[in-house]
Amino acid sequence: MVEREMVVDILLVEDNPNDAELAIRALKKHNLANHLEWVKDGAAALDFLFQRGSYAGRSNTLPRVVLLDLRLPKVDGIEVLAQIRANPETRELPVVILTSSKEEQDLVATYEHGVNSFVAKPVAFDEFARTVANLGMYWVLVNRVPPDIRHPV
Amino acid sequence: MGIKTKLKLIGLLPLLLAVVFGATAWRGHEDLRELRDLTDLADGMLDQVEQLESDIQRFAETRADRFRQDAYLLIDSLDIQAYVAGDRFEAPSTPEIVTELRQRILQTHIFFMDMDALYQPALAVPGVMLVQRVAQCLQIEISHVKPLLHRLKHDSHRTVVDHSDALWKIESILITVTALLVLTLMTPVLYRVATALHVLSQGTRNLGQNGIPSVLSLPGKDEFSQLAQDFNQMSQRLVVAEAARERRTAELENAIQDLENFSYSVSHDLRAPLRAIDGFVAILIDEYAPRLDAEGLRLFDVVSSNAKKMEQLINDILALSRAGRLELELTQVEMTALVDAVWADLSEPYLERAIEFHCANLPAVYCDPRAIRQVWQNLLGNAIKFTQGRDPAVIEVSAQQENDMIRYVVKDNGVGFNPAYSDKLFGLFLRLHGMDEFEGTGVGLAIVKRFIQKHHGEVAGTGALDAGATFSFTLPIQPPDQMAGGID
Repeated sequence: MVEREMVVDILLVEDNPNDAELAIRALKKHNLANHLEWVKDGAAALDFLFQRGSYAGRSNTLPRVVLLDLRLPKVDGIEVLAQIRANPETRELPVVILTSSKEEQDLVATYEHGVNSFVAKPVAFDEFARTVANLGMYWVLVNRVPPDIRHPV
Repeated sequence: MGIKTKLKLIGLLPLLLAVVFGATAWRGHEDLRELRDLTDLADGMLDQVEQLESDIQRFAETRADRFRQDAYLLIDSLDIQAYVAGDRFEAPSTPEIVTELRQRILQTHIFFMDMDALYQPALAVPGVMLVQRVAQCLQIEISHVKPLLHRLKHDSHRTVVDHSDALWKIESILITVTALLVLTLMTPVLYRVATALHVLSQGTRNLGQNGIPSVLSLPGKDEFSQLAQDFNQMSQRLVVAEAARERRTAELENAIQDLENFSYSVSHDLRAPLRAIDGFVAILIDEYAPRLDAEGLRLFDVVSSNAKKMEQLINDILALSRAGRLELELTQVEMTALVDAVWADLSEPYLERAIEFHCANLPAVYCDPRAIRQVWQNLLGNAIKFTQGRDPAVIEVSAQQENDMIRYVVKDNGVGFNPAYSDKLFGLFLRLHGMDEFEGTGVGLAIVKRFIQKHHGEVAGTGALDAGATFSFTLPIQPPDQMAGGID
């Protein structure tokens, strides 16, 4: 049971607490927020994934999906994505960009770094809630990943 | 001295020399004529001497008065001619010959008078011996005169030949000198012209760094060095202008960078608070609805709808900014298919409305399909919006050729607009209708204008209140070689 507590399905990387709260609420409605970890910057996200810093003692299982904002303090989203893809351990980890930006340059840059999906946050809450819930359902419940990736059995 | 002056002077020189040449030739020929006259004179005198000889002979034989007078006349004539020869002709040997000649003629005269006297009837019968002696003397004198005249003739003839030779020599020397002089003067000028032309053409063709011509060095004080200096000044000005242009470009690039950063911030940072407003209001309504009365719910609705309006505004500003920054990629676009596709997307939510849509066959054209799709979306979207309430709404799309452009036209039978405000149609955030009448942020037509201008086309709109509106835009038939992409 202790081991189960440590399992994280969704890693939410979001510096805006309001956006994070709205996302978590939307996921909670569909019972998807139970195994969610929220970090507020890119450095913390990398610490979590690579068991460094305050996450040093964490088990080395990976989340089912990383919901990654682009504009983040310390290490920005593109850099986080680049490091995830650069490391063989995390290279295949599903990463979804969830951002306010609709800029083509962001879209191009993230796909160049091998992002799995790019979603622009809708402003209207109902749409936003629906989008986040769909993302959670898809990546946590529907999507399958190769067996050798570090996932809870 | 300038090249032009030099060329003028060199042109004048042969003229001057031709005058000198002509004068010399004229003078030489005048002399020649005189010398020839002298030869003729000597010839004539020789004839006369012979005549005189025969006259004297006859007179001695016949004592006829006719021969006596003839002889006297001939002697006088010879004397005069000798005098004339001495006076008029200036051959080197003439004076001495003439002097001797005149002496001889005088002597002849005297002897002939002696003879004449001996024959006077009043006198005693002349001694035959005496007459014979006088006749002998006369003969001797005349025989002296003849060679003198021959010499005179010969001398003058030789002088003529010499003079003629000298004249030719002078003339050929003059011609040679002229040719040499012209050649000597022309050579440096021609050399200068050739080198200067070479330097100038090389210099103007050779581009240094940054496309600025290199500095031309052409020492001297003529028109060519002036030209080189002018050219250097011109390229100097070009350098200055180029530097100014580069500075300005850098400033513009900075400004664009700032604008891009700004639009990024707008897109990212302004949306988050909006989402929070809308999201938390939604949560409030969702979770606290039972505790709110109808007015409270309405107020939350107002907040929510304003947040959505603001999002639309931000989206439109960003769309306009993207329209400005879009680098055009031109391809052949089948316009009819594009319009049909856009119409299918746009009209889907309005299937319950009675809308008659007519699209003529539209010519294909070179354009950026992303931009022109947006143009059709905005124009047809407007047509749908402003024909609201018309039954049926009629929207027509057509095209016609105008010179080297094609004009695409969207015509509707909607509410139209007051033509007095037609200059505001394509302005940013300018709306001709109230917010409560029709939705919109006043960006759509500004985006249309921006895209069409980037294609080097133009936009136009005509209409009248409650009588529909017609919007059109033109696109060039031929793809321009370089269609401006980035900055406008």
